[in-house]
Amino acid sequence: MSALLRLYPRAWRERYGDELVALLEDRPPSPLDLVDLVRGAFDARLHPQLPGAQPVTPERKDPMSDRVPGVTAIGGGLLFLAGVVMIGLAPLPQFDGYRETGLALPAILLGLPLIDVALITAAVRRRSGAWGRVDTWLAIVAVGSTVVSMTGWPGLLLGILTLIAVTATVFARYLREAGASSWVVAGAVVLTVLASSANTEDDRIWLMAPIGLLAVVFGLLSALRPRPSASVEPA
Amino acid sequence: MSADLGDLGRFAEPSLLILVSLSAGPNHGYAIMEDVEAIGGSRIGPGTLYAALARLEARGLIEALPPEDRRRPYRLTGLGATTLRAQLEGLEGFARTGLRRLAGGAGLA
Repeated sequence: MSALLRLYPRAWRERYGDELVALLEDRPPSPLDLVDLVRGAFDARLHPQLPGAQPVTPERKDPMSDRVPGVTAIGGGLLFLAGVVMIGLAPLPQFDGYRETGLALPAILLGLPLIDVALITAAVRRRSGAWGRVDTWLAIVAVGSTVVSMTGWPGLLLGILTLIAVTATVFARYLREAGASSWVVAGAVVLTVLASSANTEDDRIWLMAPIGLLAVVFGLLSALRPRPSASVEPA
Repeated sequence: MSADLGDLGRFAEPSLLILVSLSAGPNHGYAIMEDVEAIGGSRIGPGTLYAALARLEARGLIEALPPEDRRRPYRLTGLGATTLRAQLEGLEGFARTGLRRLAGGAGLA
């Protein structure tokens, strides 16, 4: 149990650790409680809520953390674009066959989950930092599918298909939560699936470029947007 | 003046249940869990309980009392009581409207 509690930040443990241990002694935790505790530890690290010490909302406490979605989107977008450009400019083979893509595919496969995570983080911040279960799973699957895709065939196909599905889902969720109409959301999903499914062995690779470009533009707008001044919690 | 529980996201509902539990008097974590289960029929996990307690305390809706053998009781503050009253009145109005419409029968097939 002490190993589990160590997942919580030190300041949190100093404040609530003893009483939580006492509670767990009174009521031994079920497997679901253990999952809940792990989730609570992540929450305590992402949104510290210690009373008295921090009257400022955590989302606004650190201007750098406010820029995380923007910086991540720019990084992911540039990585993705680099992969597209590497493939797009590579010479076509004289005979039938694939283009030599080298590091391009890994760059694309690393860029896409970064874009996904940036959008998920931006959506969470839009909801005043309320991190939902779906957000967590989308981020895990986005990163996990990239790892799977690096394992070679058939993981490559499975990972790419999963990544495309997750990316389309993340785009749809972000647009819907931003108030976009159903038609815009549906159009974005179709275009995302079509673009990210583009064949990488010929010039259709350039169809993927808008994903990276949009991510960079989104990241720049997000990172350069003026920050609201620190707000104090109602007390 | 009352605070808005809506900005607590997924912790809004557990927080409301905790405030209702504490409206009966100061209580510590384990007793709050048991009480919430009894009055709300839903179980709050220990991680969720303390995440919600920390948020309520940070917002001044509850306050911690001196610990008794590692078990620290919490009690409602004035702001907590006002907030709970506003929330419950809102829910009461919402329930009344729903029941009235249901009684009218216009929405039935």
